[in-house]
Amino acid sequence: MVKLYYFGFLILILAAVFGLAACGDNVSGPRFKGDTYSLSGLLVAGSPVDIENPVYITKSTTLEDFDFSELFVFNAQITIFEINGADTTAIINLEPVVDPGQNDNIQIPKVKYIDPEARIIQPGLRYRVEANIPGYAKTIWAETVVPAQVDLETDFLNQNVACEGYSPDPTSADSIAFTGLDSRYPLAINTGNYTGNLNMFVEIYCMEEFSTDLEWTIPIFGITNADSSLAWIYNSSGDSMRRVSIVAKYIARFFPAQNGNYTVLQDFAQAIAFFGRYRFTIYSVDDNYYSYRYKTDAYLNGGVHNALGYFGSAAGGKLYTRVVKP
Amino acid sequence: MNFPKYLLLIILTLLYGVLSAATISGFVTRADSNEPMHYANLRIAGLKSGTQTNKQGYYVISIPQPGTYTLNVSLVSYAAQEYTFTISSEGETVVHNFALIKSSIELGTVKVTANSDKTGSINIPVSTIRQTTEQLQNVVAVAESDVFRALATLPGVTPISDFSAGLYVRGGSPDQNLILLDDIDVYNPNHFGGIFSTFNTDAIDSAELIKGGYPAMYGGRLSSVLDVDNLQGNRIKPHGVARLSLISSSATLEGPWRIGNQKGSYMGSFRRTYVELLQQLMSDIPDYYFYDGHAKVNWDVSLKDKLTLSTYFGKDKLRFDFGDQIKAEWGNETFSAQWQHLFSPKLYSRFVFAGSRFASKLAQISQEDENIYTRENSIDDISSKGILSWMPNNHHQVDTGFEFKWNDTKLNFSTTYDYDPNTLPDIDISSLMSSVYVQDSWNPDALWTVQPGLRLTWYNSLKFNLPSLPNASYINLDPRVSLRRKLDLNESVYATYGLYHQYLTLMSMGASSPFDIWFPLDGSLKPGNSNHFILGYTRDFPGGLGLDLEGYYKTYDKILEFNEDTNYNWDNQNGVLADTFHVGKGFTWGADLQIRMDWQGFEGFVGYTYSRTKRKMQGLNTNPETGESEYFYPRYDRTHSLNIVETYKLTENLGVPFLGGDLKLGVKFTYLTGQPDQIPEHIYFDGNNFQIVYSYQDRLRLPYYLRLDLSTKLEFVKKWGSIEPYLEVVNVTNHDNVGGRSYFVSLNDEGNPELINRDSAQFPFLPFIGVNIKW
Repeated sequence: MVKLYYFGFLILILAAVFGLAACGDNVSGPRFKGDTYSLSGLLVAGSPVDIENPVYITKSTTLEDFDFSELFVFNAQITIFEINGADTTAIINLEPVVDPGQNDNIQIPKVKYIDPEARIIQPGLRYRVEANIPGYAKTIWAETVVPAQVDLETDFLNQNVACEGYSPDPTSADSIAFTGLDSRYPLAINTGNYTGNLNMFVEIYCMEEFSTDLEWTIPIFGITNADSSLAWIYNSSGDSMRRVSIVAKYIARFFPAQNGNYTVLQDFAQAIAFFGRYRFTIYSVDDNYYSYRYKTDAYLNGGVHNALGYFGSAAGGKLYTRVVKP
Repeated sequence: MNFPKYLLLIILTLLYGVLSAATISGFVTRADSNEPMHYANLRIAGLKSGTQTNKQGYYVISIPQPGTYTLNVSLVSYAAQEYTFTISSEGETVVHNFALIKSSIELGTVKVTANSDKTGSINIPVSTIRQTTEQLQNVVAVAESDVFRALATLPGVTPISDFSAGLYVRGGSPDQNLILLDDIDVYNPNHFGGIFSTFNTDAIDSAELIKGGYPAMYGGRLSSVLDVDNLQGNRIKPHGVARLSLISSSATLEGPWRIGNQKGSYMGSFRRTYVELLQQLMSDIPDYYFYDGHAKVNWDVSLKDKLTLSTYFGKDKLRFDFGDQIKAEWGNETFSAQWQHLFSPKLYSRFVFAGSRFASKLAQISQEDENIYTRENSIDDISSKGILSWMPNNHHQVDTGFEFKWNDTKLNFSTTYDYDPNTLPDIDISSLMSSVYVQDSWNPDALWTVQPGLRLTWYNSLKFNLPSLPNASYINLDPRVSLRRKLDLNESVYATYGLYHQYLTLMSMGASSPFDIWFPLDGSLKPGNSNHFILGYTRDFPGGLGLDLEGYYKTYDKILEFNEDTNYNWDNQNGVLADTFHVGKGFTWGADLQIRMDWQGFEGFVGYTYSRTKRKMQGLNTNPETGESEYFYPRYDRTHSLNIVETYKLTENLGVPFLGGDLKLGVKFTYLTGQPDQIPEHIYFDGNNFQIVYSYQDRLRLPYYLRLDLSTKLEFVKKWGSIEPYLEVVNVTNHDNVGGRSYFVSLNDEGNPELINRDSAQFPFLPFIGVNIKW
């Protein structure tokens, strides 16, 4: 009788616990409720907020209700304040324009917010963005301090070979052989008087459209060309065999041979998957953009309040070349 | 006379009383090898007194008055024995050793199957499952039998993937498991890909997993204890096992030794894979191999003294060529020296001096043979322990002891990249953990057992090479208490509570890997703590069936999870350990049911677990509205887990030989609730790409996991030993078990963004063949 009592007691307890468990679900509820807005803007030192470097506002409903045609918000009021110390030195009102997007990474029509007066973004200054969207009660805002200006080097090691090397011109015919690419032509930025650490963002992007003619720079398991099954990932967003991003804290130091302060990126050839034309984006970036590129849940870490996304700033630019067989 | 003098007088009187009582003591061993037997049950019928052997096979029973008695010893699957002896005076000590014979099975062809009688022990074996070599080897596994894979089939234990050997025990993560090999910690016990665990099952005697509520002699981890013992070696005759499969071979030798009048036993085992040789035939596999070895020497100095030396070493080497080369190597090394001494029949002791080292190195080498990137990590452990077990009478067993543990972690990154050197870790941290414990197992009457215990730990950081790391000094007192009530001879209920603290933490990128980094805490992090509450019922049925049912609730506080966003970056000037971890809390509750079988030729078990685990970690799984972290089900949370692990010895039980040999069939069936995962909730455009906005980490359950593995072993017994070819088939149904799900946005043919998902696969249908040779 005694043992039955104990056993029964145990069963009762477990049954009660399991009964309670049955009432609960083993997944969480939705994280984002209702419409979700994002603000994305990267101010580039020495350039205006223009069609190349615009600000985007998007609105997204749930995936089930996602409608691409309603993604871009076209009626936001966006103002950027240029602040020097405690003084507001300029107020920039952005205007929406529709860009067909032929010159973009992703060739679709987009609504871009640009500065019609093309005021140049100044390094070292603080910029604050405020955006108001009809139907959305909160003001979206963020601030960034633009990094010091840096200059791209097209031939850091002074190879001085005709038609070889990088060029800031997207249409340039210059090329570099894959073998020795990163040792003969490292990516370098001149930091002027500055030595010390800086947030680096480098994007290596293959400008070739996907085809099975794309040839691997390093054949893996004896396969020399891209397989058609890779098309979807080649064209997908985020990093892939087409696009490799490097985000890290680098050091700017003195290089005696060049008699200047530089940050140099070597040993990046592994990021070149295919032979063809490439674009190298090399930026010194602020903490907002660094966090956005570096962290998981990036859209919550880009410095934007009351929306997702990022509002950051950068100094640097883009270089182009064709990577060819030796 | 003041109080201390009274107290001294009382203690001396008690000591006289207990020390003057007569005793019978000795060791219980296996008849075929003379190796010690744990959990053998000893009873003196006339006295209604009994006990169980300890890990070294030792027992002692007090005899209160002169007379003639009969001592019975029994263990499942072994023929019972009895010994009649006479006590003629108080204080007399009788020593008798037993050598148990495996019942109904021919000697020399099988190892031991020993189930514990959980009701008969004076200690309360809460949440404890002991697996012998044979039980571990009976579990069908990929490539070869595996300790961790076998343990992951037990109720309360969850694997996270086919390619990770990490054990997730009752809601705990792998870093919260204390893994001991011959009493010394083993860190990162992984071979590449999680297919092989560190321990070669031929070289080990048993693995005891305590899933929670563990007693005061263990500490320093929050979730579980895995106590693995190397095989001692056959003390009667030499014995060997060789195994040959498509990707690995191993050999184990054991036997007695004698020099003059000194004697003992030895065991040595070596294993090596040769995947790298297959690379010459199939170029699309990595250049990889590992080797490992176990060795142990026992010296039976006298009846009262035994010395043991043991060691383990292992090394993995991986090379992958993609223009540049990735070279990786890692491995464990341990040594353990143990002295077992009987001060008196009632006072058993064991002293351990041991060390352990785990080291890993990862390097990227350019085509010009330049070191582009190197990452080196190691953790060293030097420990000494003393374990004393005093059994003053048949109602008390007092266990006490001490432990000193010195740890040192080094982590160094170097690269040709112009990274900010301040962000490259160059860390050297050491610590000392000192512990003492005491525990009394008290049987106030024939039905009740009370087992209170205390463990006091003093943790100190000793050395930091970085000035910004704050020193740590923590003292914690961990109470443990268990209560058991016998309902019948083989039936009992019990309840347990324990508090546990952890002073080491692990930097791990999700699943267990050889590149996880152990760190002693600095002053910026408090020790994690956990409360265990367990309620259990156990019963052994006649005929070889047993049932264990446990309900549990565990709380976690100040637990740590590596902040993967740091990507091992560091701030050498101002950084503290807290910068690289999420701190949080959590809880888990559930119930484990295990039906044990040694019945009608079936050996194995059916295990079922219902559990819920939740964590809340600062900076993880944040609510976008409030910025606060939310509770979530971690990746290893499985609501339902069902395992059926059975072996049927067809020839032995039906008497029907197959092709002239003994046929043995094995099955392993696993069903697990799908893992929690995040899903896309929104899409936005950030100027470069369409980006996915993810839900909480546990918004969806991936499809359930289901796997059926089968094995057949056909053993031909020869004069010199036996030869056993085998065939194992993994995932017989070729069920598509999802290891993870990734999402991408890609433009479709119309130029519109389209959400795509891809699942990573786990083991498909895989057959393996091999042969085992024993002599």
